[in-house]
Amino acid sequence: MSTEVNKQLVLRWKTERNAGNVRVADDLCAPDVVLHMSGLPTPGPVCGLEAFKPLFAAYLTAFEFHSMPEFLIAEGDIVAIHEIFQLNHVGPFQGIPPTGKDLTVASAEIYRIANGKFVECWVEADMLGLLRQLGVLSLPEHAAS
Amino acid sequence: MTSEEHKALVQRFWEEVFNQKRLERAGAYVTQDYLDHGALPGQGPGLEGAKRQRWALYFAAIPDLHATIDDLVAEGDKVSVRFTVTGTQVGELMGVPPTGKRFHVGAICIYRIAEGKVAEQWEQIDMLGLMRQLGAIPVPAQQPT
Repeated sequence: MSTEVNKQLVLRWKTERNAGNVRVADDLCAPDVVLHMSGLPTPGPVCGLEAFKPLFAAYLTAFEFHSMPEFLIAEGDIVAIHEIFQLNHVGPFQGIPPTGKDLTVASAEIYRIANGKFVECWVEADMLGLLRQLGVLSLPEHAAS
Repeated sequence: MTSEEHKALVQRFWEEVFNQKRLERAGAYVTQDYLDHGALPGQGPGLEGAKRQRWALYFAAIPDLHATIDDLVAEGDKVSVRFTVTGTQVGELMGVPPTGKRFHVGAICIYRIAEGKVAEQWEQIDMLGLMRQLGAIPVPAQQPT
């Protein structure tokens, strides 16, 4: 796969996510996909498509996404992106009832791709900022950044 | 500069300025008008602001701060770096009093290179994980998401 094709896979993922299409995971993730993501309630990576899908579905229930990557960087089998998530909190998230709030959350992500599927993903989103915008954290002033 | 030279620049920047704590060498790797998308509240502009109001504060709070580069990709004028960051918080860090606790968090930083130096950066460190490991934020009860 060329790096351009790999970038198109990531952009398709984002477009389908914005449309709320959970089934895109079946098309774009390998059965043994591994997700490393900050802010999950349980530590450690999420291993396998069957474990990943309910997590993805829960995020799409909690949030409507209205954003695309600011830019993509591709080399070899890797695509890195930076995105400012534009979110609307429309469903329960980690026990927090929907607030209807619009949220802005920066995220840097890396996708490793083999044979047209994501095999490993790292997502470093500003989950601290997300929880703070939801109003569920009280923190020292500086830690808010 | 080639993509390989951009990667080598970022590797040297991290090793010398962060791992070896040679803040006085930052100007060799970073432009004076450096744009920092990870700026702390009250951080002044450019390289001087980042040195005095961010990096120096990190080094004072975490004298054994160490980043291990896990993955490095480059395309065009950008470099993406995935790290594991470790350290012991012995000084006040972003409003959190010294805890003496060791931490271990993931990070993805993206750099734009211009004329042989880092001119802009987007940084995502797992600050939620860091705050949880320091005990500044409670670890949540398990939730479905």
